[in-house]
Amino acid sequence: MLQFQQGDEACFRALVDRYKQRIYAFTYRFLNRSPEAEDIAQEVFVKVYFSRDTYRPTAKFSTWVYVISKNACLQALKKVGSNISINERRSNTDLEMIETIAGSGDDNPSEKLLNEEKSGQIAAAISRLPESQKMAILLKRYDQMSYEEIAEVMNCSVQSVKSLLFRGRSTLKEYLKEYFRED
Amino acid sequence: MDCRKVKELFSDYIDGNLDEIERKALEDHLAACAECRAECDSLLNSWEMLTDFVVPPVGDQFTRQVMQKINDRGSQSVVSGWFSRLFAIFSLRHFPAVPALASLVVLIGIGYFILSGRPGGIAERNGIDSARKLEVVRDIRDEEIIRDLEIYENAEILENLDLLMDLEAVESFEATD
Repeated sequence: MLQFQQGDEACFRALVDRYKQRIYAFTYRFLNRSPEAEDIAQEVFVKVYFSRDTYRPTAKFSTWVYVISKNACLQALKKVGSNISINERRSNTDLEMIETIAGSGDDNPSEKLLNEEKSGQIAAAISRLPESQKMAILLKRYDQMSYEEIAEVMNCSVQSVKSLLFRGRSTLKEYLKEYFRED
Repeated sequence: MDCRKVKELFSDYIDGNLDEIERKALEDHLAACAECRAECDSLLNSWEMLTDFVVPPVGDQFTRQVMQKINDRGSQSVVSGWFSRLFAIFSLRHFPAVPALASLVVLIGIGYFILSGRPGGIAERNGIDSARKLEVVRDIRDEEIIRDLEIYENAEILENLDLLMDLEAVESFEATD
């Protein structure tokens, strides 16, 4: 990042390549598998590019880029209005995906469908969490961030992070209880 | 360790943040308490289940599209850059005292407007001030008259001084008699 700040554009490409999957995964999960998640992830990197002068090496680059991602997601949610409209759009893409899997000639399409269904159940459970709990859960579970890093991204105290994780886990446990009974 | 304390530590336990002693105490409790064990198991299960939330790989064109967006915005900003440079010439950086001076001029203007517009404003007050000046002059004249009168009285006293002294001398003479 420091090299990019000094004008090395190739380093920016390297940063995008290194972080694109992580940032896309975050926006995809946070926005409940919205088809706009990739576009928003791209916007995150555009923002990184144009805000490079505001980055201070005292913060970890990953933390900084997650702060930008968090803001982009919250802004997107605000724009769309609520999670529900994203979910409604998602139901169309679910159907498209099922059609794609069925027509892909894969060895085990039923397993893929099952995995897709599982993902859908978990996504639905996570999307029901309040935004702050959802964010803490995603950063902890999928990005393996420490409490301190999550606190920095979310701009809150470590104690708040612990509390958000505790409540988020308890709520998720209730939402997913029925599902893992079937397993 | 009681059930309440154990439940408080579940999050740290799942995240592996407990030290050896706490972890041992918690696991001992779980071995003995079926309710806490069930709760902990279901928390761990749901946490593990989240692994199944798979994300499709990002599109092949992701980086290219990011660069494209940057280029598009960059060329837009070149056009807007001319305007921003134009504004920058007149920016506060070059004329830092402009806002202060402008505010001062506006304040003076507003003040003059208010005072001159209302009854008893500046125009009328000018008349009052000149009247006051007259009064002051009149006061001075009064003082001069008063002073003159005092001098006159003193002069009268001086004029009759001989007579008064004679009178005092007669009185003193009579008194000694």
